[in-house]
Amino acid sequence: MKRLGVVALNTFREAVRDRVLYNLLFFALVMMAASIIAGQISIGIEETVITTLGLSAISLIGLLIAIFIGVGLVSKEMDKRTLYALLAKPVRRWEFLLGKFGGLILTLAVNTGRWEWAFSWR
Amino acid sequence: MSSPAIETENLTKEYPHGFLNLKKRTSLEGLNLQVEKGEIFGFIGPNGAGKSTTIKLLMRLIFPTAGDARILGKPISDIQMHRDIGYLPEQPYFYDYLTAAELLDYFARIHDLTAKDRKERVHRMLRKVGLETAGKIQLRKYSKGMLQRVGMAQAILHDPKLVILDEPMSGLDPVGRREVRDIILELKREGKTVMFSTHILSDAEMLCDRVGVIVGGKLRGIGAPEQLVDMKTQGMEILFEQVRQSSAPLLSKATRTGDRYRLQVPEQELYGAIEQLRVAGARILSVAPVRATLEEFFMDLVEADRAQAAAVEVSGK
Repeated sequence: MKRLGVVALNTFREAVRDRVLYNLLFFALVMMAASIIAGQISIGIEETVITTLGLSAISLIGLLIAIFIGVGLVSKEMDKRTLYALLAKPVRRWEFLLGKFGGLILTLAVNTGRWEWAFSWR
Repeated sequence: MSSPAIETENLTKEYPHGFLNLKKRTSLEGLNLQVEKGEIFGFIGPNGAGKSTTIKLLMRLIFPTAGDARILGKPISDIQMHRDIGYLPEQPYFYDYLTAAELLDYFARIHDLTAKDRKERVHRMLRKVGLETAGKIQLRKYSKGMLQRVGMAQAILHDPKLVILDEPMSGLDPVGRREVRDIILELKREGKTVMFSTHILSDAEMLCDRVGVIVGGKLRGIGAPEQLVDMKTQGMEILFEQVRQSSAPLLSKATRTGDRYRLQVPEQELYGAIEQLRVAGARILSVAPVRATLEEFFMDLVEADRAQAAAVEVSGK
């Protein structure tokens, strides 16, 4: 069980060090700028528009991260043969798989948390 | 009596291939092998002979079609036996976003080592494989030889009783190979069992207590290197120079490189040849027995295997 956590933390670290994540961060900043403009052109209902735009951005970006990272989570380890050294250690297959999944969840949770903070600046 | 370090029973692996995976290609055929505790066992064979397949089967990375194996007395399906094994994959590749120190720390965590232990071991292992200055560099910037060293470090990190190395010398320069040899010998001194595969026969001859030769998925010979090859000398080789009398009949049989001559004679004719050389005024530099090497033994097996395969192909048509 403890190994599951170790694998998950490493998966999270991979996501943090992966450049894909920074691209999405940039994309998020663009969305934030867009929300300001959208807020200005929507007379009277700025709050509704910004909230809606922000929430959809969070959900869309979360979706993109889940797809982009999730797709290579296990297959990349098999392709690059990084899995061999790990599975030769006392790690069960399910511990590895659930650990990878846990890492993805952690990445998404941290991201969503960060957006919420970013969009609640006012 | 203690159980052997590795014991395989009729271990077989077939890979399905072709249309609808109907055909089977046998990669390993009924391997029966025993590796005793405390010995260095060399597993040699040409490319595609089944060395890596065997090691992957033992490490439970792939599953056998038939047969079984035990490591340190436990069946290989027991996950706990992995605590006592170190494994270096063939052409190792690790998470390239980590530094060497981080990777070793990660594996140490997998092995449930305490924080204090982890720090100390990681540092010691990096020093042992000569990477102490590169420990903080991301693995993506590592050369092949450096990755091989990291692989070695992670294999011995948790102080295993049995170390299985898949081609530990590949991709290393002479200095690196020497260091790997030293590490293997040190492991033996510490009472550990080492099994490694290689196709570099001189390494096996130099290091191993016993070797197993595998060709075409079958074990063809097992024993001490000197048992496998016929140690009867095949003749004597005389190296000499400074011949005054160049008409000596023996000279025509000798091969010349620069000022030196090399002459091979059967053992019973040795003294006669030396006498003739003395008369001819030659200065003898060395007399040495000519022995069959592991390489010749190996080549014979490979040739036989190819001939057999060719024969099967012809009869098949």
